[in-house]
Amino acid sequence: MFIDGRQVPDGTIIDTDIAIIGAGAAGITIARELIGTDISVALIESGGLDFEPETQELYDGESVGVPYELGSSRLRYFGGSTNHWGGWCRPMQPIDFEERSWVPHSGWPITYDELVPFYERANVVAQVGPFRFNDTDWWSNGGQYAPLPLPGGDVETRWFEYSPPTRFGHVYRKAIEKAPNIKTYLHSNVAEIVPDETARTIDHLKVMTLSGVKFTIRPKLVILATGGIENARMLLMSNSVQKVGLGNGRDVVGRYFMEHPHIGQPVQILLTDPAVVAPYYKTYTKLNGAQIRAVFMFTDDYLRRTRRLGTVITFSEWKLIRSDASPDEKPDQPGAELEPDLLQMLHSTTAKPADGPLLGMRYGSGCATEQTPNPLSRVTLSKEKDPLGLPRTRLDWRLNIEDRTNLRQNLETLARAFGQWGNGTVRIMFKDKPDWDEAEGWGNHHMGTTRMANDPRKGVVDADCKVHGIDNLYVAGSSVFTTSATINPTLTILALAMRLSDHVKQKFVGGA
Amino acid sequence: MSEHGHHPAISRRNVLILGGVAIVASALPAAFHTFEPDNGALADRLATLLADKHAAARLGALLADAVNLPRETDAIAAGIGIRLTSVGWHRDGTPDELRDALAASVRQDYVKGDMVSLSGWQLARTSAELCALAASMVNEKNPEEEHG
Repeated sequence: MFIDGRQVPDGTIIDTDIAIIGAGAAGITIARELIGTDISVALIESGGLDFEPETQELYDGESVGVPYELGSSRLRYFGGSTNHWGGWCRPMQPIDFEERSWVPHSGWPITYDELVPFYERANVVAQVGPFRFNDTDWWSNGGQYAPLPLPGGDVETRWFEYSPPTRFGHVYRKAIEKAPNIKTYLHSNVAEIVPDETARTIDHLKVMTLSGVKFTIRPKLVILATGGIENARMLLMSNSVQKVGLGNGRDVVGRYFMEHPHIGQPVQILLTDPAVVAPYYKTYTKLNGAQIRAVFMFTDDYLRRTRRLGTVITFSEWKLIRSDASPDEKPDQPGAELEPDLLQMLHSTTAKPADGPLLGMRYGSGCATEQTPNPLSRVTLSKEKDPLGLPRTRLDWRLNIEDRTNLRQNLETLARAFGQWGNGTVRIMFKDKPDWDEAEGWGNHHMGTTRMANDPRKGVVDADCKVHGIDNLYVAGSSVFTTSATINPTLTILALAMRLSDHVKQKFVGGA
Repeated sequence: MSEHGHHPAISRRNVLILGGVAIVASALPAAFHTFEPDNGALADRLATLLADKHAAARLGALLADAVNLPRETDAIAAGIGIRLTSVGWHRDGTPDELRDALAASVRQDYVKGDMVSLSGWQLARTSAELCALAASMVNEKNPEEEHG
């Protein structure tokens, strides 16, 4: 059932078993998992069923670090940011969960293997194909396609699978609406998660609408699922009892904000023989029940040996390079005039000689890279207030210079791999400069602000995603990520959401 | 005997010996030369492998400005020769063996990370030197020629 919060009588008190705050990828997934149980659920969404500017504006805030767009990087209505999601899906690698001595603050309290069964279920929820992300044979199309044979063992081809993308607010709306045990409150903003006087148990939620209605929800258990930035804001502004914010006794809430710096054209690649490039590298390719795209990533062995963080690199066709181009043809970019000569050199040394005027192809690229968890990179509360009278977000996104050096070194490793192969050469376009003053770009991936750790001094939630020190408050979403890895977060968000839903279901079966 | 002292007597035999030494000495430079690598010949052989010598020369001219590469043909060829020898090449090898050695040397550069950057392009050191060689040879042939 959908209920417009603006129609709820002022002062109403609603009792429920579970309150899920936020109807995005995580919130809707958990609610779906609870369909058919005896557990009553209140799914609370700030927005309506469609985009509304006045609700979206609640996301505005201050960005005081690496410039960041707080408003447009997420969406505040039923379905959340899946309403503009690109659909890129891939699980993290085993190494991403490990404590890496060269990555400060790394190490999840759960392993990749523990998450695999939930990743497989998440694939279904995201309407992705089979769970075959690293299976070269599966994507060979009966032996027709092969990954580029880059030698050296440092760089390898892996695959993303695409969600259509699933717009959770549309695809799963009916199931949520018809579920007898779920009441979805739209246009309903949680203003505070209020604990009892001990601050060990959540007592109720204060809910407000932009029209001025106030009501209360009294849940036995709360799951906070409002996104990687808003989750931290919600805990920080829930401070009427615990003055520093809920779960923030160790001053960890909001810290370790991470993104995936995205660089357009970090490298360009010249290849002598475009025919060797399988279609799945160049664009979205339908194959064996999935829509896929191949990327270059760095092997776990390489990352361990060189003590580096990961990077994922896409590439796509750009321009054929010919020896018989008209001399009047203007270079389409600085340095383009060198390309025929460079390809001739490859044909003279490591590649087979060209047998016609076609010398090769220029490929463009994109990349996303991992950033080191940094406690100074953080979400806090602004002094400015939103129309509900609640403090706005203040984001201070920080990147280490080492993250920049790391990316540069990974790009050099890519260049070495292509060079060893002999049929390609790489141009590093990523600027060699000492800081990240200008935002290079990002992925709208907000991670780490309520990070997972067994030790409450190091994290906000435990391995079950329960807030340390509070019995009935859980967090879902990428804010619980301990490290960011390099891949898009949605599949991991879904896997963790399914794992959390299993956990809370078990609690209610066993008696909450 | 004179007041200027004694002059050593030079016998006919000694004259013959000294003359022989002089002849041998004069021939030594040529003899030694035969033990040194013929870098000029190597340069010519390398040049025949280039699909487009002028393309390589254009890159070589830019590289010589960008990085510290030698500019004399023999010196450049000598350097490349050492690289090729390190990957098992012999000077009496066939053209195919020379090409294979060149490819192996390029790959070895990438394995070692011995690259030269030209406008961001990551060239193997061997490739860069080959370009410099082409530039030098084109320059020697036609000093006025521009490679830009």
